[in-house]
Amino acid sequence: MADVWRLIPEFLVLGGALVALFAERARSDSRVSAGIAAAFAAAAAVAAAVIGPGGDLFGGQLSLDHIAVFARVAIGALATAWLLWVWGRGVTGERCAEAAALALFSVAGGMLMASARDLIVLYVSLELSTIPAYVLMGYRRDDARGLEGALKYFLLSMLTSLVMLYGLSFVFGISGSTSYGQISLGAAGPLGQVAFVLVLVGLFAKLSAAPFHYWTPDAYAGAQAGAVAYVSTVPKIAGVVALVRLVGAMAPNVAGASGVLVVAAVFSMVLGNLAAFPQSDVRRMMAYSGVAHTGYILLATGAGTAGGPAAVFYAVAYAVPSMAVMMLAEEEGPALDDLGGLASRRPAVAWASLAWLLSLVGIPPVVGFFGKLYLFTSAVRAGFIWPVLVAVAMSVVSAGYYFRLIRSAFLGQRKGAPVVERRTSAATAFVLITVIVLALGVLASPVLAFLGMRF
Amino acid sequence: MQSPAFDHLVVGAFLLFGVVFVAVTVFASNLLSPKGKDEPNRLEPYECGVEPVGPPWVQFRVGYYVYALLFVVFDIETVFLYPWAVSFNKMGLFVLTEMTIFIAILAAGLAYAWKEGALRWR
Repeated sequence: MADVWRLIPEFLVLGGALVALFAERARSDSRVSAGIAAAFAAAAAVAAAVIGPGGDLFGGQLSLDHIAVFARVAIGALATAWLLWVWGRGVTGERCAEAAALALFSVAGGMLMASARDLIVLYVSLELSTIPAYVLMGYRRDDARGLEGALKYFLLSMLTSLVMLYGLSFVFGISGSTSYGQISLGAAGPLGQVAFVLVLVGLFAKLSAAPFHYWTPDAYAGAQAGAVAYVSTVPKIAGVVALVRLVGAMAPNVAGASGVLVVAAVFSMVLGNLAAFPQSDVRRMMAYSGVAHTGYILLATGAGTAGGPAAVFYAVAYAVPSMAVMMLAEEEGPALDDLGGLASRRPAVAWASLAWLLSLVGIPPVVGFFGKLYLFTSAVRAGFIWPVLVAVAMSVVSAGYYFRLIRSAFLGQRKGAPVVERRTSAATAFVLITVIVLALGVLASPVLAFLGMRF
Repeated sequence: MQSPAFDHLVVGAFLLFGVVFVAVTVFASNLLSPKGKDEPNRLEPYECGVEPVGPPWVQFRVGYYVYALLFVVFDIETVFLYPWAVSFNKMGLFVLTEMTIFIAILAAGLAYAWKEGALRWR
């Protein structure tokens, strides 16, 4: 109980959500809620960094190891960027207060999920981090397409959550415990394999890995790009941490465990990248490319505990620039050609977007390159030579569609482009994201050493 | 009594009962139901075996939904308050603080609903 202070970031986020809900009473403009929420999220990120690693809490239900600390800080920082951006841009057609509060509730769930070491804590925090996401996806009540996408997301996500819960009941039945220290399924034979796969179904759907990615393109293309910027990034980081932890706890000695992960990884990479190629809607393209990036991450999780740090690092390396691209799609319009002439209209944003997109392709010196480098290194060490070759080939394919965005921004033309107002807070969000993309690239190896990667 | 064999026996009995129950009800329904193409009830929607009353597309006021949500606030509160109150003497200050935070969060939800005008019947 003396450990409660280590949860200060979560308390800050929850308190911030409640304050944000009522903040518009003071000011007539509801955007101020997002500003207040951003301040709380930033404070939570700083608090998480200051508190640092702290071992097991509450009798081992939570564990603040290095990966959890990194994930908490990353989740807090990304949420700050998103809320700053909402503060500047608002949410089209609706009030901001609820969006800010929902995002913070989801952040609290994500932070708990990143440190969960107990199946029940994991499940509750997983739901806490995704239920607000359903609402954010269908945030505009008058937008039938968005509601359809949100409903699809909700139904599939709920269904897979229940499958996962069913699997967790098997895990509990096999091991008689919900604590990660005691849920190794290796001795259980085929029943252990079934339980493992059932549990993976839930996490695969949340991370939109093939073959549970079907909801992603429809849901993303229906929703506002601004909401997708949040939903497709922050919960994903926490999901990857949870996946790494669970695989580490359950999978040792389960026959075929890493095979399942690698097969899903190869399917996600190939399908995601090839399907992203012909898209002309940035949201749809990013949805498929998100499937592909999840594939890369699964490759490292298949490598077991040794691949964990690289997988978590890459989840952040993917989430940060991807959020910025979605924000840009909201500002400029969702079609690929809407970016046309960005370089002459908004040169600073265009050059920043170059950094984001190069990071998503994986070109040095930005973070994406180092993320992929260590990801593939840990996969090769685990002996996955062919899957890594596929991943490298697919990275080249991904360059094709990401460069289409760059070409559109720098060489394309667009008549009647909307005049995007200058907003200091939205610009701050872009600066924050670009700084993270560049700085994490420079600091990649110390950060990975902190996470426990062996070089 | 609590041997593994007994546990399996219980599960097996449960399984057997489930299978038999479904088989018997389906068979009985088949035996009792009126047959024939000219049976007038053939095209009626199935509603637990009785004749349906009123049209099935009934719309409920959305106001009920808000009330159901608000009910959950108090429901959850009561569910947790009773066991806490019963064992209040055994638990210390920590749990008192926890309960205060819990009630504060629920109260914030109620206050939010109030602010949004959910308590006004329209």
